[in-house]
Amino acid sequence: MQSLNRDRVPRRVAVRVRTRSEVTVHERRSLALLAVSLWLSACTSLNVAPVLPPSHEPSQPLSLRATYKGDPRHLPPSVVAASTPDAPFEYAFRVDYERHDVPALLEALNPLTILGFPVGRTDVTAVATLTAREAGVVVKRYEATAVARQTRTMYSSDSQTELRARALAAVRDNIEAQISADAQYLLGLQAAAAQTVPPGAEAQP
Amino acid sequence: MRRVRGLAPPLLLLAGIACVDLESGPPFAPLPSQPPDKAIVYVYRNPKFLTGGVMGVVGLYTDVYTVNAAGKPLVKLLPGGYIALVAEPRETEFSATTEATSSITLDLEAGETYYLKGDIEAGIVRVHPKLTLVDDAVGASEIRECRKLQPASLGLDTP
Repeated sequence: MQSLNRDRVPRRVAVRVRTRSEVTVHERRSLALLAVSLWLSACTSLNVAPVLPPSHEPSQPLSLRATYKGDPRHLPPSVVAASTPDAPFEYAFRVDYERHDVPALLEALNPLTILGFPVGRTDVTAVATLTAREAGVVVKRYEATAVARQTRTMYSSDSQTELRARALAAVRDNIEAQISADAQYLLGLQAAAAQTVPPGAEAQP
Repeated sequence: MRRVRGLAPPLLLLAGIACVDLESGPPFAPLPSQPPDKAIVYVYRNPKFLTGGVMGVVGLYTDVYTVNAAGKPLVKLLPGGYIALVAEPRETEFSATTEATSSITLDLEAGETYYLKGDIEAGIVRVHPKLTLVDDAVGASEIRECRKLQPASLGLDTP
């Protein structure tokens, strides 16, 4: 009988909630590290060279005729694509893709992958050049390089197209800033070249 | 007997994963001629077990996805398969989507050949596709192990 009564008494479960101060320093550090790693893991970055000081808009709008094959969106605003090969300028760009991947087996077996641990990194490098020629001789060359980098996780997409667009926009703007600083010189080159351009050679918008 | 029954599901799974590798289709043969005004893009996927098999076993999900070229379905890319695309020389985006998207834009030039390698990465419900532009030497070597796949649509030039 006694044993029956004892069974009816609800058991007290000893639950002791730890206060904030009782969370160890080690646990706090671990949580902070995890939060930072998750935040950093899916980030993208963009580095452009050369680094230029803030520039002013050119007083005179430029319209440099350049030979160029490609999408006009990637041209600096001061450059227009020319249909003739004798244009005094040439604009070109190159894009390189580079991937650094965690080995597939490690990625699959790593328990941190599910927490957003990086599974790889993608670098997209764009190099753009604007070459100025006078009588067929290269007299000036502007170059810009941009590296768009993305650290990939299980939760991020792999848009190399987007990285490429960011890198190309960065080099375009950088070249634009460089030629804005040399506006007078470039206009002089264009004027000199215009005197030797055969009739009928017109710039394409 | 119980032990045998317990082993059956993983064995079947492994067998299924192993069979994902393509067994049909003619072996790789490069296009006989390069059109001077077009670019050729070979899209392929290695038949290696580790690339698709382990991820499939761990994630228990299918690892097949469709690659699109310029917004049109190009090929359902199976492990060990390839397809050749004769394309206009211009900026062209290749993409593949499962629960995540992988995309890469190539500036195709006339007379040039490109090798685009498909692979996978870990995902939550499905694997993530991974498209990588590889060097000609690497691509030309790896694609030899692949077999030709059927195009996913008729709108593209896939000889």
